[in-house]
Amino acid sequence: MKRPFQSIRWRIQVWHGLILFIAIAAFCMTAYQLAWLNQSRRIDREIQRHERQLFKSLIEANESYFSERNNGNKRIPFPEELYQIFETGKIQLPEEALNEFSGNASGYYYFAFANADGELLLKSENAPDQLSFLPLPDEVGMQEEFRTHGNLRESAHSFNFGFRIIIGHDIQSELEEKHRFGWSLGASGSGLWLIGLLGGWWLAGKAIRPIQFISQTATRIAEGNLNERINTAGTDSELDQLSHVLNHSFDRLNAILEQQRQFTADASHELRTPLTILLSESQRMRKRGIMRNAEDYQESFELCHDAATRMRHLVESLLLLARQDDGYAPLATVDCDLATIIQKSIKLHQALAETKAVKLQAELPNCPLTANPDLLAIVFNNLVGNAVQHHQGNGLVQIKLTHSPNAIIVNISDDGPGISTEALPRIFDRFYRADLSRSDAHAGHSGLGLALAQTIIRNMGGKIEVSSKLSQGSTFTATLPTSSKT
Amino acid sequence: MRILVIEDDPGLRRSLSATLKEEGFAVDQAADGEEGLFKASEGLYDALVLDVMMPKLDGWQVLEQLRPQHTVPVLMLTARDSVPDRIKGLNTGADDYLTKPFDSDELVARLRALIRRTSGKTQSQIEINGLLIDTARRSLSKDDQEIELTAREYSLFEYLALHRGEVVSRSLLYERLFDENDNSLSNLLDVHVSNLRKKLGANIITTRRGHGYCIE
Repeated sequence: MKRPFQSIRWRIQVWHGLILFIAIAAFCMTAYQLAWLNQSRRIDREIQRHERQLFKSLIEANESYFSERNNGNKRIPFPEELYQIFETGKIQLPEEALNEFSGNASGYYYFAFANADGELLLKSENAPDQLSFLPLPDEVGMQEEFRTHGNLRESAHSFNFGFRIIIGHDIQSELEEKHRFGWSLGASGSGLWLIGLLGGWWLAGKAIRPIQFISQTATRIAEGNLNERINTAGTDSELDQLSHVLNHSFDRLNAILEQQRQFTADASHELRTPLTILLSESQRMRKRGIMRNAEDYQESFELCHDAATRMRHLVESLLLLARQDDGYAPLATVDCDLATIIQKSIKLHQALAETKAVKLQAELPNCPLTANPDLLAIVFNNLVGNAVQHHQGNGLVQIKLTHSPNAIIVNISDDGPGISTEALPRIFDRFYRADLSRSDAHAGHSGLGLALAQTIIRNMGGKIEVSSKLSQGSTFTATLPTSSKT
Repeated sequence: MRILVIEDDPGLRRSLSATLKEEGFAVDQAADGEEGLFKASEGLYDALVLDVMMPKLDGWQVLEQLRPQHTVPVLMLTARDSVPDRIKGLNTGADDYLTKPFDSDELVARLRALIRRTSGKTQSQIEINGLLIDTARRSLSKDDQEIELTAREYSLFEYLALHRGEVVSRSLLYERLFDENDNSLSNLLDVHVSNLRKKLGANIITTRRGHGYCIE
């Protein structure tokens, strides 16, 4: 079994989970921070309000003192004046206002005043014992700070003339609320993450499914069901394109395989008939109790010999074709003259041509080239042989060699029966015979000749073309590059 | 028994004909489907050996055109041994099927079996007046003693035995037992009949003058 983390689905899932986690966590943290910042500001404003309230009531309580000092002028006193009143100890305390700064109930307020030396001037009874006043500012008039000690939030001020103030507030309930908020954020974030994971798993599965489908189909095809193809949705998505590419590959493989299968079937088919003759003749001659004369044996051996020759020719052609096909062991090339090679092919078919009253007319200027003369001989034996053998008699076969600096062209044209348009594209196919007839299937007629000729010429870098009209004749044109490879 | 071999390969055609002739059949040949169909339509033959791959008309087409009117047994020869081909052959009306390369003894045995089946005789042995004819082995014996006969003599005797009680005309015998290349010298049949009488006894075959021969 596959390890889970090797599967794409799992990998997608893991990365998806990680990214989703980071995003949700960042969002929750930001929300948490913002909420607390907001809360802190509200608390600070509340502390400032209480501070103002305290001073207001202090000033009101000591109004008489201030108006006396200011010669009856009513104005808001400076902090220094308030400080002095502390220093002098003549301060009147507004009892009512001080009620707000008492007790230890949740959310209580407290205050404390100190002088430059750190001596406590006044503090509410609920103020904590440890109070850290701000140091005195160096030059400028005042320094202030908000700070949090444990569950206490304080606003501290210090003035350059020595007056130091702390107003504090118990924020226990706000802290608890903050924690609750944190937990609920965490919980909803986790919930969101889980839903995201499930969605991701589903999405990854959905994305993977076509791949699994493709892979299953491809496996079935690989196991031998070569006619099956991957279904394409026709959406031209990336996977569809992949499917098309795969299908195309399968088509090509199948075609090659089919071609190979056909070739093997054809080859064995061609071998069956001569083999049957050999078997049946040898069996017949082996039988006892039948009077035979020398002629009977002679005839039988001739049949056997013909069959064996056919088989040999076929096997040789197949072997040559196979070697030419995979470019195996290129045969040695020598300097030769194409004119001489074609001349030999013509001589080989001269006798048959004469009996059919076919005139062989050749125009062969010298044409030196570097190639394998045996292979070229096979090609032109086939081309010239076909022209003569398929000729209905009484006619002309013209062989014309021309060469330019770039190419050598050999034209072989006859005024024979021609090739039908249906047969024309197939005549280079292996084992294809235009007339389907084996009645003249003597030793040289395997249906491989043109296929072999074409393969040889192609391997030399050239080509064979054919044009033909029924009952008017055919022209085969072999074109070779001047510098042949083979 | 007269057989038509329809095969386009000249070598195989000659070889098959020679084999069948030596086995005592009268054999005619056809080199392509058209010729084969023309000859087979005469209705002279006891069986056809039909190749599938042929020019002009292939084996299937010959069989299709032949089939409704002619019930002659047909043995198909093919180079392709795929199952669909066999099914096609049997569906088209072929009676038997052989794949090249085949054993010529098997071909002969199957042809005999086909002919026997269509003549309604499922038994391969026939007994006549103490003479035992084994059509499978093509032998004749009396009291377990084999009697030597030439192929033509045997064919003649077997044909008469298979039509026991009927008077078989000389022309029918020529049609059935001699092929188109035989010089039908009118006394050739008489020579065979007199040879048979010498070997088996004078009374075994009776002559109905003007009508033909008969085994009572």
